[in-house]
Amino acid sequence: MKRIPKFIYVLLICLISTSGCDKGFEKVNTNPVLPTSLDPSYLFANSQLTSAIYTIQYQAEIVQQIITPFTGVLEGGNHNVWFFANNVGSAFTSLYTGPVKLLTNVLHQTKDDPSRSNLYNMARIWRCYVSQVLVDTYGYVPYFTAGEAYLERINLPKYDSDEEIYNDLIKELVDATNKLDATKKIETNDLFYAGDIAKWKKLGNSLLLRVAMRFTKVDPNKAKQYVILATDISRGGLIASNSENAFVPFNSVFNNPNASTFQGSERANFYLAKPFIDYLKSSGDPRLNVIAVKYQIPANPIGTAGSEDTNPEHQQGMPYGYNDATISSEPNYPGKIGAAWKYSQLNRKTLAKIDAPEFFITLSQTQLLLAEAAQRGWITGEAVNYYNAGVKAHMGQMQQYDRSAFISEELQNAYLDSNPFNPADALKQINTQYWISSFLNGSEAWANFRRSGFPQLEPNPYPGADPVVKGDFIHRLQYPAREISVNADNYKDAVARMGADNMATRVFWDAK
Amino acid sequence: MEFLPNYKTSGQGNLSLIKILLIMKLTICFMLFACLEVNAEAVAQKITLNENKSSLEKVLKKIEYQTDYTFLYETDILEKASPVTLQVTQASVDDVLKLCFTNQPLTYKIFANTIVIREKTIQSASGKESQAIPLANIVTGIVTNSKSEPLTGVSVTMKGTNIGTSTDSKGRFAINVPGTGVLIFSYIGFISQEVKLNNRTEVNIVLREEATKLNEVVVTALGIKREAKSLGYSTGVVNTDQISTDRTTNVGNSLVGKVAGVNVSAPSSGPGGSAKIRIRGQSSFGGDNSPLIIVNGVPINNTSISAGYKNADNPTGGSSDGGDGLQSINPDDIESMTVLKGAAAAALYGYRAKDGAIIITTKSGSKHKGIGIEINSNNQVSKALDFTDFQYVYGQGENGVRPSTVAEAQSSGIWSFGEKFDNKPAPQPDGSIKPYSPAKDRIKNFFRTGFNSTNSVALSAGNDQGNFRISFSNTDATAIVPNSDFHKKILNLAANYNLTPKLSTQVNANYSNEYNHNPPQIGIEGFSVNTTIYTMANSIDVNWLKNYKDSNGNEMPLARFTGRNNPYWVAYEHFENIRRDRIFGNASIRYQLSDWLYLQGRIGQDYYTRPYEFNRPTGSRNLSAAVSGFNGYYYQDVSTFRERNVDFLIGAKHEFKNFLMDVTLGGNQMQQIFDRFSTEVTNFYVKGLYTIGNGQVKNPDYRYSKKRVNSLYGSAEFSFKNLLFLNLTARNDWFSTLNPKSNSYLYPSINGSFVFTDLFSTKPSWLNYAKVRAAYAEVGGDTDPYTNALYFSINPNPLNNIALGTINSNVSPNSNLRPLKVRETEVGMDLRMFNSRINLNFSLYRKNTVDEILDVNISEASGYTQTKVNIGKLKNEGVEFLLSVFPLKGKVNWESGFNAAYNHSEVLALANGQRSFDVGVGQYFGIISHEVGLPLASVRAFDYKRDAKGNILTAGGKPLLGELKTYGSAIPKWTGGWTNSISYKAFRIFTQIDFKAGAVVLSNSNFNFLRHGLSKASLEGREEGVVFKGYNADGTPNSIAVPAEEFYASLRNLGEPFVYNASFVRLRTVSLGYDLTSLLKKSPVKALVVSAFVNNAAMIKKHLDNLDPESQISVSDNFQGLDTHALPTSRTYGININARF
Repeated sequence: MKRIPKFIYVLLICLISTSGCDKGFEKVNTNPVLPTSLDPSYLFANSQLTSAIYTIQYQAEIVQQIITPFTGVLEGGNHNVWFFANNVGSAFTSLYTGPVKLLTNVLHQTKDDPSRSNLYNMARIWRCYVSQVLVDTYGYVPYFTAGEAYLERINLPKYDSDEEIYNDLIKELVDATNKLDATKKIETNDLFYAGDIAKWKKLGNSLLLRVAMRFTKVDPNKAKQYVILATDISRGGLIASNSENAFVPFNSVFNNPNASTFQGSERANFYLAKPFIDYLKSSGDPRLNVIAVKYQIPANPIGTAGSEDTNPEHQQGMPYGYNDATISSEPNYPGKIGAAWKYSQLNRKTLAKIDAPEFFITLSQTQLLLAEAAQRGWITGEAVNYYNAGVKAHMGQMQQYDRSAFISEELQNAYLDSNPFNPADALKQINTQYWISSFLNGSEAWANFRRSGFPQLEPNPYPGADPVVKGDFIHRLQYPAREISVNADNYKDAVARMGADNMATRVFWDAK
Repeated sequence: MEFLPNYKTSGQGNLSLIKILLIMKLTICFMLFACLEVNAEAVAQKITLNENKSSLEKVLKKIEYQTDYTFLYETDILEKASPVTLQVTQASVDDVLKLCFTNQPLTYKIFANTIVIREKTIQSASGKESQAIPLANIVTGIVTNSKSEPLTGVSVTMKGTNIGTSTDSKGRFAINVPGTGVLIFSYIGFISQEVKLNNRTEVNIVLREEATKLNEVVVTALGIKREAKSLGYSTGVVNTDQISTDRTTNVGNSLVGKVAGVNVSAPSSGPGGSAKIRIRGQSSFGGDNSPLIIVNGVPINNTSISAGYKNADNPTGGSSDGGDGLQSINPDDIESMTVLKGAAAAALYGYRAKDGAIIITTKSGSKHKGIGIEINSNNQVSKALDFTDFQYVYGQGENGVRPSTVAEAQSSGIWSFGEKFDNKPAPQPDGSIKPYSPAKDRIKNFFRTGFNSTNSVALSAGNDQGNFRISFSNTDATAIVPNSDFHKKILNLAANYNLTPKLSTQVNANYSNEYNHNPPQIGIEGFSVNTTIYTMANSIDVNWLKNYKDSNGNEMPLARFTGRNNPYWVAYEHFENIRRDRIFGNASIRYQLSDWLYLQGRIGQDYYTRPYEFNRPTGSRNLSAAVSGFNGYYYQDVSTFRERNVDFLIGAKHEFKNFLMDVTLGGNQMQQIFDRFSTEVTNFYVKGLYTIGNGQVKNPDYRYSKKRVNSLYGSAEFSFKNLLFLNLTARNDWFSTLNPKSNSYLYPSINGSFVFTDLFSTKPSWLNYAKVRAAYAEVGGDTDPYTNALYFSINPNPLNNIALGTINSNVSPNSNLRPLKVRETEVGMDLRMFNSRINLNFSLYRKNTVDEILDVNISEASGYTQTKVNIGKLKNEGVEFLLSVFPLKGKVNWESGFNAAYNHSEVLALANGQRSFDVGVGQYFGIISHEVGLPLASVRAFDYKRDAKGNILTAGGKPLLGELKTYGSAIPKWTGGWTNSISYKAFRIFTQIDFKAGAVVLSNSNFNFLRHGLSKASLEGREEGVVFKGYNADGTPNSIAVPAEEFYASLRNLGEPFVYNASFVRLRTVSLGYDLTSLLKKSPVKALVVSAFVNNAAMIKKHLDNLDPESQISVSDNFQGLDTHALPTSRTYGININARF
């Protein structure tokens, strides 16, 4: 043994002492390059970004603004069918694993921290926006215990009734907006207003107005009560200019979620729908100029798509009722250019830009809701003024997409002159404008269409439509197949209370 | 061959029997059992002794121990010697012997390294002391194998007598026999030889190996060599010559069909691709159930690296196969390859060997003097195999109409729903007008001949102090896809040196430089050449697509599906470069404390850096437009991986009469650190310059992970009379990745074997050898690092100066994880009958996995998609057998081996109440799920909707979607192979047929062939529409004719029509070898063997239309059973030349 070199002893001792235990393992199992805590305002900003979701395939198609003729993965609202593969990227998945998850964490972090009370209340307001989209899309959804897999170990949250959620949204919006306080820490890491409390109050109130107006059919008194509260100037007022619109300012790094549909691999497959084009065309709407286009080679990327024809007279929308094989039999079939059809598409240099902003709540929508409230006599002021302001606001909003989409004051006025507000036809006019105002925010366009019944659209005549909605419109989307399988018990409970999980069941405010 | 008694018992004779000393036996035992890389033998010729009245026997033992001399003497004569007293330091053998034999009645004589001792005098009748007589006839020599390597322990006996000895560690022997005698040389696993002495005193013998090594020495866990008879579990030994000759670029793929219970499938992913190896089924629900790869006693990383790693669950990243760890090994460097199939075999390797282990020992230098040179040259060509059986009646077009303009031709390039071919001029996608006629041979025309040239040279030398081997090999391979090639250079070094007689060191190092240039793009759409080639319209000639750029330099359109890129655009504009510099190896030092005890320390490391880059070229049709500048994408990363294993071993061995005890204790610390720095950029300022700097939008990322496992282990082996063996092991692992309260796991194994033929004094004459064995073992496993806590991350780009933070994972963390466990029981039997002409080896096993750590799906409304939990139970049970038969022996040797394995798996439990969970999803249809009560990897898809009578229901003429149905398992139940090897004189013919059966595959490709109008089935209803044989809801038969294209496209969610039996039988290899050695006796060439071979020679039986069922994209178990446009398999023709100097 004498001749054993010393290092062998050292090696042995070293190995025995370190192998025999788990010393230092906690440090080893701590990721040194990722934080275990993060300023909640960073999560908050991301919750705003991730609230911009893809709403082309059902929502915008149900309200007959955008259409594709194709079956297969592209099928959805164009044919009034439910296609399970489309659950991928659904509002359910996007919103719960995006903003709901982030906001839940923000609320936990800030709830008991008075120094972050503004962030806490901003997060409450924004969770209301996200939750409203979920309810409007699906009806019953997890709300009170959603987003809590990690913090509360709730892996399979139960479903809450749409009406209860709406009541809580009102309570939350009122309370959170009231508690915003400009004297407290300003949360500048905010995509909308850099933490400006006055603007956040306006956003909270405008959202309250939107929530309140959803009650028009089911509980007009409640609607009126909260419309009045939302418009109470002492509580901070409403969005008052396009610069106060709540939107995600996409750029070349962060692209609009619709970008791949309009600019990428699906660019030859999506068209503007006939009802939308026809309405803009018939009313001489200057927005048609900046929205619709016919490309020389539509299947090519924008750089090589050739000449652009934006002449309103030449625009033609794709009608409902056909697929890619049968579309050639439609009466006004214009023919094909390679892979694409000669129908109008969304202008890839304006609203379909990959860095186009996505609007959540706008001046135009708010003014049009006020027009309806005034028309119903719930608030003071002339409906015509709100209406005109709402229409002009959306025309003015066009330049926020691109400078080339600028619509001059003269054109705006000329449009209103030739399409004057008619009190006898007020609700139709107002909500048809709301339809245009909410173009590309499919969730809101579809919700207001169901609430108001305007614009007057023909039900989708596609022969293969789902029988439950044949001759009608899709009133809600089905839960994702994954959720049905994973959260089976709560799903069954929800269906038992809400009604069938199909596209005909109505959200509570969408009374017949 | 008659089964010879072990040489150890030969010392029971009497009279003039010469036997070896116990100490020498022990030395040999060490050679056999102790450690493969370290030689404990004495080599120094200087002797240090301090003896006071010691017996001569003891002194001689010490001399043997300190030198490489061995003593030969008759039984009992040392008892006549008087005690020895002497004190010498660094003395020569001569001097010491002189001192020892002074005044002894004995004398000695040195022959080479053997010292023969005899009595000095024989009393004559006269009573006078006669002269010391010369030793009768000492015959010496060296016994080697065909590679000139010495054989230790070869039994050398004189025919018809009890006289015998055995060779020492250098293959030497010395024996005292009459010059007229005949010597018999016999050795386990080798053909016995008889040699007439004819008064020669030197006989050097080369023993030829038996065709099967049934009683071979097996390298087991921790590098311990053991006789196969002592093992209580099943192992598979791979014929390394075969692997070297009929080689595949990745050595792992050469194992296919060769070992019972080992299921090998090569993804069709080009020469730089991975090998998928599964032993005894899949032990866990996760996608990776690869065995542990051990090289020279130390594990190496065998992760199959995904390219375009972004989807971590998809090892190909949906685009290409970046290869695995095994590809860094040169088959010519492999000395032996043992497959440890079960947990019992691998118990000492612990958690990472839950799926078995493959033990590779690389060659070391030979001990004989002089430089040995070995050269191997292997050259192969490969051709893509075309199994398509397409229709050539209707040509390009959609909805029954041919393209009337170039633009239409460029929109419908992947549809063959046009008109009947009539050879009339028609516009084509390349802009030309050509006859509307069939274009066949798309596979032959696009895929080129692949070449693979591997050349290696090895130099070796050795002396008494140590030996050395260095080898270099170079592989240049071109894939069958244009502009795709793979290159690797491997430098392997092995060095052993004995610093002192007791202290030895060894270094093994393997350096590889690998460059995978444009690995074929496979799988789903988007830059996959195969998807386009396989779905292209049947009137388009591949060669027309060579004009792949338009006047703006953008991709020429082919189809309205922009994800079906032009294959030449992909081949020449898209690039992907994977480089890897890797060094793995280990250094060990061993100290022989005494003849029965050693200590060993070892450090092993596997380290690589892997720069990687790929682009999506500007102008590709499936890319979004850039706001300004040029669209496109470029990704670059550098990853490094380091695994360090530090271990020690203490081994002790003792023999008491009939008992042999061998105890090993050890410890290991394993640490893995992986990191990767990457940047992806989207859109460029300058066209065609794919760099980070030129990118407009940059997303940098850095990832790091570290884990550590500490282990202590021990094994104790007991053998009784060399016929009853018992081996116990225990290992305790501490995992850094688990909850500190439950991160430790102790797991035992026990195995035993009983050679019961050795018990019979009169065994049946036909039964040569019979052994039963049994084993039980447990191993544990852990999970990925950092899954116990919630981590956040910050988006590298702010949006308008607003920072965006996120929660880093969609898997809700769980800090309460404990180790998973695999428990395996195995019994088996080995039989050799009729002079070992018929040999059977079979095993039964059951492997249960419990507490599997799973990512279980949770409601997305919880904010997360999954959470990690300890749940899940899985069972694998099966039978393996190997039957080898020697129908002919003698001039013609014919060996026929049939191996087969049956494995049945069953998912016993998942999370509470969970019936199934999904692991993989097909492009159009098909889900791979694990379902309780069913075998692992259920292939599920929607069936037709049927009424109560079983009639298919239709609506509007199209079948309705039914329920999600399970069609079978993606994992074959049966795997096996049949090999035949026939040798006659210098010729050798080898054939291998292998098969897999009992699995199903869902062919997304065949759906594409149907909906694109390519398969013959799509001919139905071309003119008048398809009237599907179904029934309407009211019970009336369907009478609606749906246009063919619309009808077939509507099947996209229906899996049922595309479920196929995945079984196949194929003639894998035919090779012919010719040994030219005998023609070159006078040249410096010691051996020269030339072989020619064909791999993938023929498909004997398959069920999958249009494709090879072996063609798959991924090594992950989560994607098997889902076919989607992998590279076609190819047939390889090759020539191998092996020369030794």
